[in-house]
Amino acid sequence: MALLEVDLEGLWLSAQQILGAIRFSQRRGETIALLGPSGIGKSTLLRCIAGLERRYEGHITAPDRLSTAFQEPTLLPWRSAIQNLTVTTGIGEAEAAIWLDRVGLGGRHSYFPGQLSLGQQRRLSLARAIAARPELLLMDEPFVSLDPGLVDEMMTVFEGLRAAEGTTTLLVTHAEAEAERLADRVLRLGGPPARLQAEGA
Amino acid sequence: MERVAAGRHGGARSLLSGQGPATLPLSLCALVVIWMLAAWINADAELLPGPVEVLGIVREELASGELLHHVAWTLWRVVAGFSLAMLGGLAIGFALGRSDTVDAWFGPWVIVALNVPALVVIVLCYLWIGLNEVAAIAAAAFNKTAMVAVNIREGVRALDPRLSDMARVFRMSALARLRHVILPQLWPFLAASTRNGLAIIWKIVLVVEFLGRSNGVGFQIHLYFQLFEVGHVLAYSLTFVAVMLAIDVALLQTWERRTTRWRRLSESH
Ligand SMILES: Nc1ncnc2c1ncn2[C@@H]1O[C@H](COP(=O)(O)OP(=O)(O)O)[C@@H](O)[C@H]1O
Ligand SMILES: [Mg+2]
Repeated sequence: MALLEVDLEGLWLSAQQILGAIRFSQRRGETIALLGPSGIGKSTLLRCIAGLERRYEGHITAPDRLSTAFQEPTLLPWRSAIQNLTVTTGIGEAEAAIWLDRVGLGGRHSYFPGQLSLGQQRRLSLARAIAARPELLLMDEPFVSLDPGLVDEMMTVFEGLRAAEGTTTLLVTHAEAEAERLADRVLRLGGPPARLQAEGA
Repeated sequence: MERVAAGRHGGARSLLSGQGPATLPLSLCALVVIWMLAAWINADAELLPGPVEVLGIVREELASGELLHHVAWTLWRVVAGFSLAMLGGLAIGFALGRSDTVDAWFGPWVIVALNVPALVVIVLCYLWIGLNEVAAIAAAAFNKTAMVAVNIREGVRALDPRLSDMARVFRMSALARLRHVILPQLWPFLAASTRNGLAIIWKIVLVVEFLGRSNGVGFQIHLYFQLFEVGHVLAYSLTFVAVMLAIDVALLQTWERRTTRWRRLSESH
């Protein structure tokens, strides 16, 4: 039984077709990379899976417990780093402190997001997403516009967490190398409207 | 972050936030000196008593307990009217800001309410409800509700949809969303409403008392107006100005400092 089952017929927004027919499923423990050019509809597809966009035709079966780590960290600017973890995921302070350590923000408990660099904000956002112990983790270009060194560092952090937690991950990216390194399987979106291209092609 | 920053202009400056720590006392002293000079040149204590005479009257009224009694009544009406206006304005502002349909139908009513002169509302409340406490507080509250509603509507429209999505994905409870996601975005608008609200509402309360109450600072001003006692009129009104400024400094500024700490730290980074 697949954890995620996507059977889309299409999505039209403002009389424009954004997504075409898209069918795929994901097993528990698997990491899938969704690869495609900018503007093709990758983020829109993730919004459908996360339940934030419901105007599509077709069916999506996704677990209830899912979380997101997006390109924009989308943190609460008025809450400290540790509160950003406790308040959104409901974990306690002690556990949140461990999570901060694991993503290299050990000494930054009381920092506000605005006091952190972009790379640190992304790591906090990643910690938040995984600390929520989701059955399915959705990541939308979480490494884009970081220095190459930082990208590598963050991927290593992610690989470590994934190995420890066994998080099933759907990763959206437009970087071939990221997909190759992190994913068990790569799905390519072409279009418009966005459709899956033959696997392995 | 742009959307969050957009709310910044909504936070009104404090009444007393001046340049340095020394500017404020100096500026106020200058005002008193000008008053002294004017009284001295005028040389008619009936028409314009000086600061020393007025301070004497304040002392007398304080000693007799009159001053405290009337200030307490006015303060109670200000607080009651203000709280009702904030609650009502918050509810109406939320409804208007959330739904375009609601706004299209009821938005114009708010504009009408905004443009009814305070005096008309006060007179109508006394005529319809009676010359009683309920009418007095209703009149004070009504005059302010529309203004709060307009302010909160703006704040609700400026709420960041990305943060709302985030809260939905993480299944934050309604209470947690309100506390950690929505209210912090509304603080600048709430602070502006609070500050303008207190400043306006106490002036309205004075008129309410002037027209139809038998206690409160407004009633005392009415009384001494009829007796042509300028000194007493000044003593009562200045005392209340001082009380309102004290509230501004003690409560509002402390509150604002606390709710904007994250922004100061984020900016200095
Ligand atoms: N709410 C919307 N209404 C109309 N068009 C939209 C909406 N949201 C996204 N789009 C369009 O859908 C397309 C795909 O966007 P997106 O999913 O963000 O692409 P990607 O993430 O692959 O870069 C874009 O052309 C965008 O303009
Ligand atoms: Mg995108």
